[in-house]
Amino acid sequence: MSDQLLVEIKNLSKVYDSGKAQVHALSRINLDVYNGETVGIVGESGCGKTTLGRCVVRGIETTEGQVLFHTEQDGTIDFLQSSGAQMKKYRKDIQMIFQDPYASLDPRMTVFDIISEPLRYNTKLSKREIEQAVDRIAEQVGLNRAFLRRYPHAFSGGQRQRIGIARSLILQPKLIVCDEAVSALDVSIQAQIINLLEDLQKEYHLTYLFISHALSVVRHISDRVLVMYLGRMVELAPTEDLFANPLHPYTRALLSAVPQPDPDRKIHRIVLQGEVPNPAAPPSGCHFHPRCSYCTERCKKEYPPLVENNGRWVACWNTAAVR
Amino acid sequence: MWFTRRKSPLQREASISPENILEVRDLKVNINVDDYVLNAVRGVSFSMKKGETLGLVGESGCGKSVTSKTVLGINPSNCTAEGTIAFRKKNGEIVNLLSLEQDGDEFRAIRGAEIAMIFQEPMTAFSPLYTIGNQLGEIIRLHEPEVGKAAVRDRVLAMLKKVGIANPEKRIDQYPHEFSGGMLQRALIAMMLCCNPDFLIADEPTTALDVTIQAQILELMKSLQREFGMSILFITHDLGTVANMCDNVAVMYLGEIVEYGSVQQIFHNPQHPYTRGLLRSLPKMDQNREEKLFVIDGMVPLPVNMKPCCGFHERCTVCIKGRCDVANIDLMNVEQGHSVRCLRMEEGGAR
Repeated sequence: MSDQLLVEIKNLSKVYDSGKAQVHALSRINLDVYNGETVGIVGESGCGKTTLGRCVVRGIETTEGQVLFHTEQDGTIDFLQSSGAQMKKYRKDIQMIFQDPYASLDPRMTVFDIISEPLRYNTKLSKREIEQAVDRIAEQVGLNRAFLRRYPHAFSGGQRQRIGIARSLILQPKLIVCDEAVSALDVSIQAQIINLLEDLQKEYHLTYLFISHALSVVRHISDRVLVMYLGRMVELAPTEDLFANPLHPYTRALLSAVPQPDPDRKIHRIVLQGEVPNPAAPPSGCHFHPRCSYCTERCKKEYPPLVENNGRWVACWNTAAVR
Repeated sequence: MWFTRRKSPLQREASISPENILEVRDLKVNINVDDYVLNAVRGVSFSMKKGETLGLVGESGCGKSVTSKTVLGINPSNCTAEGTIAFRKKNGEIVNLLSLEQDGDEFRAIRGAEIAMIFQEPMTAFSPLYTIGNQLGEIIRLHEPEVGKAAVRDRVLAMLKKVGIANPEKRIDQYPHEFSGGMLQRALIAMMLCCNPDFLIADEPTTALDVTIQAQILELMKSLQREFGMSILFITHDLGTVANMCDNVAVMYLGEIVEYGSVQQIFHNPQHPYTRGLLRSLPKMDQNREEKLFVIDGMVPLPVNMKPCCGFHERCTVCIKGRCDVANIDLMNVEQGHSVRCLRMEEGGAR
């Protein structure tokens, strides 16, 4: 990790409007991502973590806000406003690894075609050069070159995820959005892929946005962690600090709910009452207040701003009480 | 044909130890796929006491789901099963479940009323076309046809209340799409408890849920078990959940139980190289973050035409050539209640 900014997400909001109801999938997300770091994004289903990832790669259009991309040639560009040639030029630098290795690969393309497709669209390399590039990347992610002419169905889940990683790496991107990249894998395969992602990061100086609901995995791989709830940032902190001393009541409950593989560890589990509310009709004030044990009158009326203290950002009126 | 075909009729009667409710002995299940046979379960034996929670752990393809489906008799017709599954019925009779016809009256009377199953995906376990109340009541109407309409509704309402569904009078007439995932899983648990079964199979009941909801459901299952005293066969790949929920653990690999013991024994003194690898490859909350994760090389092979061998020998770092890959390994005792299927035990463990 360096102190060189790579991406600045500024005031990003995404609203889905069905005519009848408006769903604020993302509200005013602000996040600086530095070169070579891994930012973990955690939260429960419906909290907007996947939407955030898709907005950053511009897979979906954003309602409001900017994604500023710091480039060497053109200085700082707003990725969400750029068009045509500029867009094409910098899209190469932002790639994505998807959750389900069974759904994200075209069953009618060979593995070679899948991995080389980004090259065929974005570069003018000759056939031979493409072959060499694919061979190199396949070896790097641990795929047997002899099997590149086969179709995805012949591969296991872990190998398919390697194919997806190879495809995202082939254009030598700077930022990779990993959307639940290891969630669908078995434990022993998951460890292989996590180690692979870490090795690749060191070698190519990659930056990851690591979206996951598996907190122990996020703790292992991330430098900083962003916790989201109902489309908003509730806490952002360096990994060690966040896991050692969570400041937001939601983060506390989330961390205490993770089942630990140790039968003697009788942790004090904070079992939250109720469920994540309907994002189309979020509670007034702080969205978390109906489930929060520290809730005060103020929490029911005003949404707490995200405040910085010692490099840690928290959105809570009662941080003093929570401590 | 729907039911499992067998070569010879099996004996209906079976023996069982007085303290056990279920005994599975040397269960083998083969699945006939187009042009080959999968040896999905290769000689599994375990027993369950009343009120016990047994965790069946393993990665995909290890045979844990096939084992549980065989117990419940819901395997598709291309499966053949051998062995003995002795089950103690509520009336004290002991039957070999494998000898019953899968769609026979007797098995249908057991299924749901005496052995129930909670499925992984609550969203797909319910039919979208009927109300929650209708689907929960169905199990009572089938097993206890003498119960009147109003009484069924009362029992369903009581059950919904018991599993913590707020406002059950309104919820009972709603459709599954009006429920959230956590609520549906609660409703599914309520459905399975309607006839007060002695034995519950929970197949990854919390895998599809968020962590905070998972914590709620696990607490709920624990308290219901205390109240009703049923035995639970808990199938999962999540070792964290197992450590929190189970009394005993059976670790499965490639259709065999490779290690069996209490949670303490399995988590604090794992003996089989696979169990050890599995535990070490898990990122832990108190682990040094700079440390690399331990990796078990390779992947689970397909169990096609398995020769006698230790299923794990290809990925094992302490494999003994000429012994592990030529013969089946017997379970060896480590200590009271803890057994492991590994030759290295003779030399004092796989360390």
